[in-house]
Amino acid sequence: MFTDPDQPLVRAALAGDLHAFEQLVERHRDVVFRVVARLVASDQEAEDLTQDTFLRAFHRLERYRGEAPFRSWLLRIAHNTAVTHVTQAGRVATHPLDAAGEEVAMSIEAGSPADQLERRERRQRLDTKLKGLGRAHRTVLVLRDIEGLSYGEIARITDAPVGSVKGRLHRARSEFIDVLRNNTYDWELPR
Amino acid sequence: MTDEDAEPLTPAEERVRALLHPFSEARLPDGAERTRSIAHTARWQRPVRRALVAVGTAGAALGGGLGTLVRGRRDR
Repeated sequence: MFTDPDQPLVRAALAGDLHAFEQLVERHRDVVFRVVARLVASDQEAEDLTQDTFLRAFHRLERYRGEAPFRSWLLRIAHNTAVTHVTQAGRVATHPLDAAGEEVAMSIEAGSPADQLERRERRQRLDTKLKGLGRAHRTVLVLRDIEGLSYGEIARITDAPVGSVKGRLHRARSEFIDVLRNNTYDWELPR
Repeated sequence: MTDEDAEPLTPAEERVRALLHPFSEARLPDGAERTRSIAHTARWQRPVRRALVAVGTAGAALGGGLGTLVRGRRDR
């Protein structure tokens, strides 16, 4: 049995309380945006798909049975929405985040302007490399190594057995390490 | 992450995780405004959606009824 702090809000939203739904959006908007942003080509698309995800969730809320945390259910919708979008758009999400969007999206950074610029460039390079991975590998890497989700939660989101998630994550990390090692930019990866 | 999920990482995997960490700090731009916009859209979409579902259900029922009638006449 698990306790999900979102359940009271979900119940209230189901009873017609739109303010409760707004609170759910407030709680989860950033994680939905982050996950979607790593799967699609641009920040702008990720913003629009974040909105789509919440609206889909709102209209399907009656189907949520509360057997898993609300966040998992929501991220599954976000994942499917992003995958459908990328498939329909017919292009691989390999474009780096635009500098302006990244600047807004990231929290306020410390350091000199030169340091900030260097960090931003580094993030953009890394984003390009990450988006060069296949979707399945990228997804597990994002959910585990960026969002810190459990294997069980990742399994629910990606609709895969836990064993497959573990194997996929292992291969994703190996692939990403290879990609970074074969890059001219020095990522300071230990041997 | 739960304890049972804790895993020993190689130094390179640890480095990858550290490199990816800044992405976990990203926020939805104009989050508060977006939240209001989502709630506003949900508010007006709900009655429209319900009306469309009702029309769809009625249409399907009507189609089903007509289909039964047509089949009945054909069978006679």
